[in-house]
Amino acid sequence: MINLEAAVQMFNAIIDPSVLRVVVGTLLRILGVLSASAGVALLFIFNLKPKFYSVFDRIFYWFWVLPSFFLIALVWIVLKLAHLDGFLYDWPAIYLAWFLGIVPLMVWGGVQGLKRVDQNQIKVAQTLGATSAQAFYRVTLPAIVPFLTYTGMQCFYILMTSFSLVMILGGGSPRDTLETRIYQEWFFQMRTGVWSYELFAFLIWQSAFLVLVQGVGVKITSKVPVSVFQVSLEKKVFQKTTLWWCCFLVLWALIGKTKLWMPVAQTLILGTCVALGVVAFIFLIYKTKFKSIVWWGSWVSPIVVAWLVWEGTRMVGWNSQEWVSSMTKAAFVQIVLFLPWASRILFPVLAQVKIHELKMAHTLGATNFQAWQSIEWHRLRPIVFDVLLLMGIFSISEVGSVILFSNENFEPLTLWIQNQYGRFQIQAALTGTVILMGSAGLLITRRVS
Amino acid sequence: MGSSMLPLRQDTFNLKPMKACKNEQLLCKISSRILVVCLFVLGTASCQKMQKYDPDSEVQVASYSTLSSVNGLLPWMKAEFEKQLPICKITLNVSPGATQLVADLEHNSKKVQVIVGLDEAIFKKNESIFLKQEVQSRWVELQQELKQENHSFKKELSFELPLGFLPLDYAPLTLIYDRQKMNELKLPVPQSLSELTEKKYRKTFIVQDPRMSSPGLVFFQSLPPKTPLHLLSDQWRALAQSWGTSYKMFLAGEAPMVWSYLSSMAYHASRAESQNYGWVKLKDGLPLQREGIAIVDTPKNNALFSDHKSCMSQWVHFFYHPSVQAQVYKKQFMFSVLEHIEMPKEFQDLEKERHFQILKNSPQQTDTFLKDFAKRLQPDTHD
Repeated sequence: MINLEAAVQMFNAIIDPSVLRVVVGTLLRILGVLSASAGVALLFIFNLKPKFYSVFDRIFYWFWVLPSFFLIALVWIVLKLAHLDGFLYDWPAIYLAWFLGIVPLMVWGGVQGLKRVDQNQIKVAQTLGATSAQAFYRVTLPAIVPFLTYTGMQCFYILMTSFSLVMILGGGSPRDTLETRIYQEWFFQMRTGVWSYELFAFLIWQSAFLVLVQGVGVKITSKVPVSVFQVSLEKKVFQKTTLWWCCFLVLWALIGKTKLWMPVAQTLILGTCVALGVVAFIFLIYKTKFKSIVWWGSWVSPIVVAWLVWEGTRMVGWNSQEWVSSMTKAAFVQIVLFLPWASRILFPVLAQVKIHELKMAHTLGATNFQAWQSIEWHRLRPIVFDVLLLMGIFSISEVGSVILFSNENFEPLTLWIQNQYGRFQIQAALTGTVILMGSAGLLITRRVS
Repeated sequence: MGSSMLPLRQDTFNLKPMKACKNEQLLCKISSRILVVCLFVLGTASCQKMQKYDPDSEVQVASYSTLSSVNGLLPWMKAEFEKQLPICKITLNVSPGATQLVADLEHNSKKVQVIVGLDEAIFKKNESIFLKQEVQSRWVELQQELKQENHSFKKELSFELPLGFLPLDYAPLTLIYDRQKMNELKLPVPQSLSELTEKKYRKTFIVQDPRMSSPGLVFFQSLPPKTPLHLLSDQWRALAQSWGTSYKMFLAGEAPMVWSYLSSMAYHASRAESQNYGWVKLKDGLPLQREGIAIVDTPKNNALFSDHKSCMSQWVHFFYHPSVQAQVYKKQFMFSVLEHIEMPKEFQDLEKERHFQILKNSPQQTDTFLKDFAKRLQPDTHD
């Protein structure tokens, strides 16, 4: 039964001037940084020579998977070295970090479009008297717009869900965005037990923007081939990564000066569970008629999904703070969040099932499983492996999906770093960031198809 | 029925001795007797252990991380207490911060009995879950006992002590400043918190977020009622998540002033740095933070606390032992609530400061303040 009074209060909270001020402020700031980044990116693309296109393939993946902690560390060090301390713990530091994170992505998006531009068309246009700028405007720009739009949407999502970066570089309130206000309201509710209607309002506003942007962008980005976003990772990378992590764990166990091994171990377990869980869910969902369900998580903020799970489990009395329990909840949130990205890679591959070969195998006496294993799995294995690694990278870099479930028993590496920054343990935070960057870097593809 | 029992009885009586015993009867007898003796000894020992074991001898204590850290007050107390009363066992449950002590109670699978280090404001907010009358009468008895031992409770601290709240330690809060940085910036030392809204103090101090930190809450509650928070929000350099963070930032030179405990000066004195730092003697008095002990209200806890010989009761009593109160200075860097306690020399001058500001915020007012805090930082909101 709907409580009318509560519904009215929720509605009032949504249109409350103080809430709207945060909404408008967040939106203006994000759009401002996006516009500036797009301008710089376009300028760069306009002057970029084709022989440098491949350079941005790798840079994109660095910036795509690198945690925001890298940007925090970068901006913090740059501002300190430049004696621009006044910008630190204020909006300029946040803008700078956003800008540095977004521009490479924008350039990469444009480069993907440029790769598909017919150079002959440009030459023809120039032969017919068009200037470089006219050729760019008439030929190049129409080709790269869908790619830029898609990248812009992704950047909007990244900035809208930016959490640690705003919390640390902003120095706390009043430098708030929708994402940080959601956390603050949740924290207040958790601490006092008083229901916060503002929390609900912020959740609604943020989700509305993300869904709206997706709705507008889908038509434009449908022209972008799926293969652009496919990832290909070298198999040896996995072995190297495993070895690297093992060496690291042994080293930390030997040094024994901090309890960092626990966050690292929890991160590894979480990443493994999430990666396996995502792939398992993809296979399960593909067998059903509800393939589109995975897109639900595509444009939702991690903290929103995390809050839904947190509130849901609290309501059913699942309050245990054992690390396994907290990790299970966090893993579930991450699986929901990452399913769309994995499905984008795996669904087209699964659709290319080799029916004739499977039938032939059946005719020759193979069982269903034998046929699938020798024909389909053989085909799927490298891509499944890629997806597992990519999901692992996503998982180890995520903060918003784990922060609500963290406690003294459960503190993955990202949160450990966030807490070190929060406690002003800059050295420890930078060490953690380097470890995280190293791991993500090792997992990054060397070849993007 | 009788006929059905007969074959069984026959079978039972027809049981033949084991072959091994038939052949080696002496060995069998000896070994069986040894077995009986062993069983008897083990059984007796076990019974004695069972008699000794008393589930009420274990006291579940909750506190925050600083108090329970390796060099903190509670691990030292636990060791001392268990040495004096080996029958008692103290189990420490740790929360990351003082503000989460009560929130963590519902998640904790163990039944926490005693909460140590609870802030007064948090106690008031949750007073319905704590024992009151029993604790109050015990507090009166305790004060009489202390008097006999010439260790009376500091009178300046006794104002409006909430019912059921046993004070453990206290510290006045104020602005601590870096003399050199203040001189470099040619900043005069402020005399009151309202002066911080002046332009010259822009980005010159660090304060804690009141939604996450008790000292931060005290700061905002100590401000004159009509202080425009949106003006003040432009002034602070950072709104730190905890006291620890803010002080580390201050020591790293991020701002020339920080909102902290007066006892921070004792810390600097112990490191021969007292000449580098100063504290602001606020003209309205220094707001006070009192930390205390509370007992979770359950019938079992009520009964245990009424029994002066129970482990829980003696554990609480132990907090007022002069040796423990002396450790409050050394391990907590807070002030003891008792007079005539041996204290480190760094505290001696600071201890004389007794011009305190009395904060009279009700739990509802605190909740409302915290709820509206973010709103009040916006310029169009009238404070």
